[in-house]
Amino acid sequence: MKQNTSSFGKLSVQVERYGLIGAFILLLLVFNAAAPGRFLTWSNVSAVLGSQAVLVVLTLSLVITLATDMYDLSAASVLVFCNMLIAVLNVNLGVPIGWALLAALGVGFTVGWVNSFFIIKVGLNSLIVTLGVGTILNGLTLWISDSQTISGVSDLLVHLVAVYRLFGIPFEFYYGLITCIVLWYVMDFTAIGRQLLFVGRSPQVARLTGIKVERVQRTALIWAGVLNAFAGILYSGTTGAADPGSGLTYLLPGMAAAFFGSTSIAPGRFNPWGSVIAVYFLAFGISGVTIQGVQTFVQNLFYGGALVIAVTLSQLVKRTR
Amino acid sequence: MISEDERREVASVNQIPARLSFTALSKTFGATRALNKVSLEVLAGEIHGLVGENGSGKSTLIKVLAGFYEPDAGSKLSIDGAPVRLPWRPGDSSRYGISFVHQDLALIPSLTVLENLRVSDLCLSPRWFISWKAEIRAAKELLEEFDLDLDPLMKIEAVDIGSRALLAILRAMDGMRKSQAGLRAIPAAFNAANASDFAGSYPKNLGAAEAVEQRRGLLVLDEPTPFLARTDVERLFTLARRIKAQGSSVLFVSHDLDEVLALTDRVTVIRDGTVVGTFLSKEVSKADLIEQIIGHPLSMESGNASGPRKLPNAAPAIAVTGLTGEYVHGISFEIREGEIVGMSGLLGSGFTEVPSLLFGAIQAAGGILKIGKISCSLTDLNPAGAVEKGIALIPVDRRGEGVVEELTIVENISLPVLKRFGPWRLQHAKLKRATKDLVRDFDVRPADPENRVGNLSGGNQQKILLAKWLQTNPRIILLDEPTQGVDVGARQQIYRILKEQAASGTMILCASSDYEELATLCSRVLIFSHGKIVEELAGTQLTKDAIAQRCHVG
Repeated sequence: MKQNTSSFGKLSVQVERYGLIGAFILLLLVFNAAAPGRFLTWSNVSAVLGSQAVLVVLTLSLVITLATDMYDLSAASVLVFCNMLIAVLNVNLGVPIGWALLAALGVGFTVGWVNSFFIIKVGLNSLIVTLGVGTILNGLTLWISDSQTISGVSDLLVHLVAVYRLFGIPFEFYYGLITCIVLWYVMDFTAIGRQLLFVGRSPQVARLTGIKVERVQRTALIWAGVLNAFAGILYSGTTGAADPGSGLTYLLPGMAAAFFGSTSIAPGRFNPWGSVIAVYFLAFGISGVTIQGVQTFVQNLFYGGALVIAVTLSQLVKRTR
Repeated sequence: MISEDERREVASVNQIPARLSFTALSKTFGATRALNKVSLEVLAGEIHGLVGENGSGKSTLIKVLAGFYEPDAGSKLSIDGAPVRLPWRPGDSSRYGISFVHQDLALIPSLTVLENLRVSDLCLSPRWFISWKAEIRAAKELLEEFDLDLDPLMKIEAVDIGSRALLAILRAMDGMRKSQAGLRAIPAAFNAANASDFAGSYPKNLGAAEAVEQRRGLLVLDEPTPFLARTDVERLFTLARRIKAQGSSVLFVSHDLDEVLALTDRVTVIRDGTVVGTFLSKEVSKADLIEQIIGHPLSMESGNASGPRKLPNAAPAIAVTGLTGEYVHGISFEIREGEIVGMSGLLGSGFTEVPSLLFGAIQAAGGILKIGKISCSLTDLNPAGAVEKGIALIPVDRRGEGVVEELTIVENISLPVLKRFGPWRLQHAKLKRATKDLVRDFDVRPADPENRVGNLSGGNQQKILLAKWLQTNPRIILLDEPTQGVDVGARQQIYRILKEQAASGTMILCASSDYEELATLCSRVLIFSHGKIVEELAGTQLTKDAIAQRCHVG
């Protein structure tokens, strides 16, 4: 393609790739100018960085399933159920926090496996299966909690997640960052990542190259389930409590960020870095308008709008290819 | 053989203008002329055959008729003697009472017989209410009229393949009748005038209106038979004859000359975009037809222009016994080391299925594959297992099954060999270097490893696929139509690559309907008919014409 990679072509590729980062910086500058001394303060920045870790992990889980061409609508339900399970085990039943966390991860693994059974073995649509499984989990959450909020989750967990800080930023930010780095490594620098890519793009090509397509899909669903449980653990540590409803609202921002992320860094592909940047782009945007004194309904406008715009953009990116 | 004069004579007996008449029909694609001043006449109440080799222009003609292609200026078409303005849009043909049944039948398996029969009516009618009772009654009447014993509420997926074909024809037939009602209104003036013209000369003294009624409709059957069993073909013939008896015409496109001769009244042969001739079916022999189709007389011992080819002496290295799939029934063959074996036959004869079966891409119903001393059951084979055994498949559907077009050359090529670039992390620089070497060796243009495969031509995509598999040093390469959609230059390069590969000991199986390709490439060619190997051509027998002839003899 030497003949048509003109300097303009190269430029447009770079704009596409780093456009989101540019928009991000612009957004920070605009809000900073609008609220000098209140928006870009270390306390506000570190608060936003820390508080979004749960969403970062959930989004990365969605990146895995979306890259494999599946929708996981049970992601936030796993998060909430694991959150409640930890609270019930640790607070109500007095189970040591370590065991409670292991149980949560086990649930994530199991839900991933159940999803994969119906999607791969039975051959159902992932959208329907995960919608059903998610709703069952929501029911189980209400059941084990008696529809009550439970507070008083292990101090140790709260400290390890939200209280201890490095450079003034809560530990949980770094957990999200590490998850992103690990996923980046797997997706970009291992054969497994390449298999994931091909299975997501064309299961038939993957199969005829000798890739065990079903195994790749199952692995993706199971790891997504485990990551959802991990997001539930971070959520428990962040709030120190569990309530049966509020965590469910993470699904939509997660989807929005995953799709938004697929328009940058590696345009046209669901990718970890793009998604993490998208999470924080949206979070700082909301923080900025909130500081301007706009009411909280703006959050829905922001995430809903972002999802539609992100999907539109990702389609446009695909079409130009 | 029938001369042009005799043909005219046949036409003049009826004194009725031909139902369909193309004159000087040409169609040019870029620099290639697919149809060159073709004339074709289908008479009223006639079953007319249309035959020719792949690429002869048959399907272009059908597509012009259906309105998919716009013919070149100067092409003329008249229907029932009245000139029709060309080009017409898809769908226009049905207004003139022309209905098509294509090979895929266009039935929706998950819907019922009734819904499929009435699909255009149900979806397009402006009615506010559908009376299902009336619909079922109408469908039942139609099915009974043609002795098709089907429950209108049965789903198509439960209907046997033979009845499906009949159903598709019934639907076309029904559409034809419906359009007649509309047609009477459109060129009414013309029809009335014409009808009274013939009334006198019409042999059976029918009334003018009846004559009009009798002249209506043309049903185009575009290779409907290759996947049907003998008995189903018979049923289809019976149906076609009844349609003819009702006064409609049928244009029957087929590769199977026996069928064409058995069913049709006249047959037109098309070769290299021109009509070679139109013959009375009962007076032309199959041998004559074959000669017309391929362009020159054939003797059984026709010499091989490129000289005899030496068969490798090595012992058979793979042996397939009793391979059974959907379209092949218990076939057995061997391939020697370093040998390129070809497979060919007519559409539906089963040969295209063999590469996919041997790779486990399609589950076989039976058969044993023996590689060297190791035997394995083909029913348990899957693609992953095949790759482990050193088998590579280059599928016919390059863009759907071979490459992922939106990914880059590096990503596509390196997929089977990623382990070489580990162990802890993929070394992208090394990957890119290796790919660069490969695309240079295989002369892929442009040779940028980061280019998306979708930007490449068909020939270059095929070279990418060859590079992808040859770097794994496979023992067996299975090819399915390896140069379909590949330009001439790339084609020669691909042949050279394959021959070199064979010379180094790799076994190659090539399923192809390009006879010239088989004659150039292979040391032996197996001819398929109705799911069996019926003949093996080798040495001096192995010529393009001989393959063509054997395929048609079946």
